[in-house]
Amino acid sequence: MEKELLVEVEHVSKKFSKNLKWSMLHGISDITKIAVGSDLKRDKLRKEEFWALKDVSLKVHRGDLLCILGNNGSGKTTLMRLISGIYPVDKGQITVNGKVSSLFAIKSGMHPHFSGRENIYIKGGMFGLTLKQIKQKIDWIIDFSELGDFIDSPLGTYSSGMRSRLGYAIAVGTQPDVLIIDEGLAVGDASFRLKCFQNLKSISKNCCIIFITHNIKRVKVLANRIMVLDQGKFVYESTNIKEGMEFYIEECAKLVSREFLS
Amino acid sequence: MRRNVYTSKSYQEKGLIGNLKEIYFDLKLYRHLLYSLVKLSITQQYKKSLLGYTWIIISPLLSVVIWVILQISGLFDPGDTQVPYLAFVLLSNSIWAFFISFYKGISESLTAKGGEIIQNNFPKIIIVVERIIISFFDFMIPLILSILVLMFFGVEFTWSSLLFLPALLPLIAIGISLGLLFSVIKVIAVDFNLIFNNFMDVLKYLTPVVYSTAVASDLILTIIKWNPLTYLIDFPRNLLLGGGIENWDIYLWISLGSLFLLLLAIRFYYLATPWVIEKMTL
Repeated sequence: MEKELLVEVEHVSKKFSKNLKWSMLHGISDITKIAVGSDLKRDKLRKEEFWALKDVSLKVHRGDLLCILGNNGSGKTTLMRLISGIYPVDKGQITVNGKVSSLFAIKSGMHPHFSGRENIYIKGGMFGLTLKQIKQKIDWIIDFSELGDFIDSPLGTYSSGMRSRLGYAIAVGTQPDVLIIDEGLAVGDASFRLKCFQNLKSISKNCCIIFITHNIKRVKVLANRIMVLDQGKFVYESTNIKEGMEFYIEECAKLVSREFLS
Repeated sequence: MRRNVYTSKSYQEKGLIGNLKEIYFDLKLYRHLLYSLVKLSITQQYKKSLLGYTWIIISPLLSVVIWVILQISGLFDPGDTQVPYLAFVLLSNSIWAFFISFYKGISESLTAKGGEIIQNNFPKIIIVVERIIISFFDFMIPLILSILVLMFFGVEFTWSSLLFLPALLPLIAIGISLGLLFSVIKVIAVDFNLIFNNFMDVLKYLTPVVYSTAVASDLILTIIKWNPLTYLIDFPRNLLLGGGIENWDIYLWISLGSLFLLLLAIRFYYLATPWVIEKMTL
């Protein structure tokens, strides 16, 4: 039986400005067009613009633990923001079935003067949880983040590891259908990382997880699918993690040697 | 299960009625976020202060004291007003501050929450409504103080005074509309907001806020006459102070216009906001 399709990205492109001045000028022209009701024509490049993603397609099913690899600037985060619905697409279509929770900067949306508990309520609200849902989940979140009595101290007194533990616990506590993790596990000590990996493995049966990392070791432990992005296009896809990693390492090596030779 | 389809046209398809429905459902679904953000805004200002929430009362009291000192010093020789000038100024100033707080608060809302917006997909209208609630909150204490001062000076309130707050709605609608428009523009480039902020400062003196029309020159009088805000401030103020109700027909027409402006601003906000979010990283 075919597994349930949760995310479908069809021929999606996204463009950005390269230059701040032109970004402002294009922006003014865009909102003027919106105000007078004329078409934005998003499918063509204007001066000083480039395609951050070009004609990208992707399907993610329930149970997938997909790792997306790629060098800096290959469009990974942009794609994740498009799937999360934060950025609008310029071309193509994205269909998302179910609830998405994304973890970009793990500490974002947290307030240092407020306690961990208060932050759970604020951040939970950002993820679209109601008060009732947060109350149901809060014990699990506090327990998982291993903060103990610190949960009622201001966040400013936490170490960065403690903050990211809390951030991770809140995102997973929302019980999303699609969980997006963008470099989110970079902090936290070894034992907590291991706990996260085990947790991700166990929840991935009921949802799909897309994660982005530069840390090759993590891919080996976690992923059951691998894709490589290069300059806004997918250049590799496989369920064979070992081969995928070899491909990516070779790509990196090519890039490095290109830089050395030029 | 929730199903979202995103294309470059998704934002146009809904239309104004669709946007208004969306506001209703988003407020319902995200009411907890709204509550948290309101609580955050109010508590954030006083978290790192020894006196804490007492500041909510101290700040408006201080401004009363300053005005009393100015009054005693005799610096002002205002025109003829029916109520004591001090009370008149206190009330008028808080109405103007109320109006400006909508424009200022909302116009800065997108950039102020940029960090959160770029990481989480939540309806932007929530932070607009949060600013609206904060504006009301910040207005109520100075308003009550002004009313107490007015009562002290022997101003008698009538039943029509109760219509004061509803009569302010058109002014609020204009403040919100300007806020929505400039919040989008501010993400792109700050120039327009800097110009408009100065314009708003000047506008205060082109509207009979701190003086009555008796002292103004001919030119100023002409400007005041054509300035729609004149009627939107004068009418509710007269209702509260029990002054004569004049120009109510002009007031009604301008109110209708401000409602129309608000609907246009909401539509613009929904169409334009998605396309400026990516500029928040710049």
